[in-house]
Amino acid sequence: MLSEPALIEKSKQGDAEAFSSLIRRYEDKIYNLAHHVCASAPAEADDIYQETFLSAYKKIGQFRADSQLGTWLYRIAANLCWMRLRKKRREPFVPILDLPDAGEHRHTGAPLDKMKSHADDPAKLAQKKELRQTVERALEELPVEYRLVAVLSDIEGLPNDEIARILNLSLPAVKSRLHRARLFLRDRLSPLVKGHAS
Amino acid sequence: MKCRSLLRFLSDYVDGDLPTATARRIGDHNRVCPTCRRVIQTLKTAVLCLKNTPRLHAAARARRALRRKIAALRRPGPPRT
Ligand SMILES: [Zn+2]
Repeated sequence: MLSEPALIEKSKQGDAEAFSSLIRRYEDKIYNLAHHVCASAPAEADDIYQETFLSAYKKIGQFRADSQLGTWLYRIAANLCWMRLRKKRREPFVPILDLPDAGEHRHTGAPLDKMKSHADDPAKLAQKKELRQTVERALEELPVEYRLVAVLSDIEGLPNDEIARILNLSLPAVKSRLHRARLFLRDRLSPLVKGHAS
Repeated sequence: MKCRSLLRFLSDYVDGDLPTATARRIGDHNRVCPTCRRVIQTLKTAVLCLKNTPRLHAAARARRALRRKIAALRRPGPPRT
């Protein structure tokens, strides 16, 4: 099997077979990113998945050997997500950067810890599902520039410095967006956690 | 440490990304402050929910469609030798 640099070289020569081997290595990552960033528009996400690789194939001649192909592909996909979604913002985003009100203080049990230790209990499983769905919905409410950071970090599992390279941001800017995005998700989750604690 | 001054550290805190002294101050505060304990617990849950999101795989149909488009593209490259 050819190495990645060899496949890139062949792709630069117009070898579609070599490029298909590269696609195989990265398509699930790009597909995953597109579908989580555009969760409410699966058809757009499919387009972004295809468009990312079509665009990469056209531009592979510009790809520099000193960068990572994965980073480069994520960057193309992130740009496509951003261009399609930036106009779709429904309402201004107000990042939740304050502490919860006093109502949240009363329930200090540990329902989440219990939830983890009773993973096979149907009620706990249902709660887990509800939590996940709430986070998914909250993710959709975030503006795309915050959602991209949250998905790249916490769903794709990329380190902050790579996210900075992908989105062409400084490291503090990545951390700040991640922080705000996570606090927003936390805020959306808190009534649910409170409800189950009581 | 005041509750409000803790807030800006929380994302780094759940990532274990803080200097030891700062992390220890937050840990000490948490032991005596149920509010912050709860906030951090919910934040951790939110992050955990994202981390546990099931991974998606491109459907066979989408994969085939992409290959067809790539093959049809005939990107003009340098002449083959
Ligand atoms: Zn506190």
